[in-house]
Amino acid sequence: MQPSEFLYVAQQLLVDTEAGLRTSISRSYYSQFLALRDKLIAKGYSEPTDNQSVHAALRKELVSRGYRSVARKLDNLRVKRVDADYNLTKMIIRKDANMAYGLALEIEGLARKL
Amino acid sequence: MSYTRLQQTPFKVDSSSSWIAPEEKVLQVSSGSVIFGQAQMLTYELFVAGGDFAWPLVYRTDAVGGYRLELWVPAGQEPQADSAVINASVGNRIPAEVEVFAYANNIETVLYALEERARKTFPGVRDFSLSLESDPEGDKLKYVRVTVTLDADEKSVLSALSAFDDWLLEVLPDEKLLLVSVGVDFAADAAK
Repeated sequence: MQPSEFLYVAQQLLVDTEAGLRTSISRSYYSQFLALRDKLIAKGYSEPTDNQSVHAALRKELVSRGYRSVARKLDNLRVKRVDADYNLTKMIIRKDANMAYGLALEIEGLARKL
Repeated sequence: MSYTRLQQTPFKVDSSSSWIAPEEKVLQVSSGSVIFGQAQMLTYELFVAGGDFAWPLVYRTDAVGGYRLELWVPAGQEPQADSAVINASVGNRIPAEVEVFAYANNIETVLYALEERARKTFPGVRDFSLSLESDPEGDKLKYVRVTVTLDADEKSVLSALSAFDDWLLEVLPDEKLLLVSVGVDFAADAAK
């Protein structure tokens, strides 16, 4: 199972039901979070074992290794994902999901250089 | 006017409270304890509106060289536990010391810069707000969220977001880079 498979699912979920759009945003995020995490683990990164957020830790690690732009984009995608997963009173529309998918593609492109 | 320190430390405010700056910008915050990571005194004052009074909030140096946002109230007017300011301000949240970015020595400058840049960068801006947000998956992690509500297509928004990021990458040092998050909301009446 590869993280990129989540990105394919995200694309498939770009439909006009809000639950589908929210799930698409979430899959877009995880496709990149997991891919980046695996790349850094292959380069010696260890995920935190304490209460620290694995998401925050990964972004911080990206910054510390000089991948500042990737960290920013992942954070932008995270904001969308937090809204999609946790904020059910906020209206999520197709533009949101398209934007998240677009961000995931941008990150995927940058991640190839990692 | 002399001030006495509010006995409740740290002071708590909930996320619905508004802190109103002199120029009437409303800053929503989720904690009353804000640590600034650089060792220069901040002289900027915010005022919290509550009940019939407005009490100044001043930045003070804390023991570790950061800055703590404290609520000071005029002598003789210290609110009781059930007074208006407490009702208006104290929520159920556990107060956390919040580290906020500081690339300038004046928070007003920082916020102005964020707003000005966002308004210049994003297309179709309808609204703009700044808030302190909790990360639902981060222990005590909080960040400044810049929310831009706009009416534009996704492609131009992505391009603008990249441009805004480029600016943040330029002005924020590594340790502050992830303390500013950008949320893009599409205007509800344009949600087609």
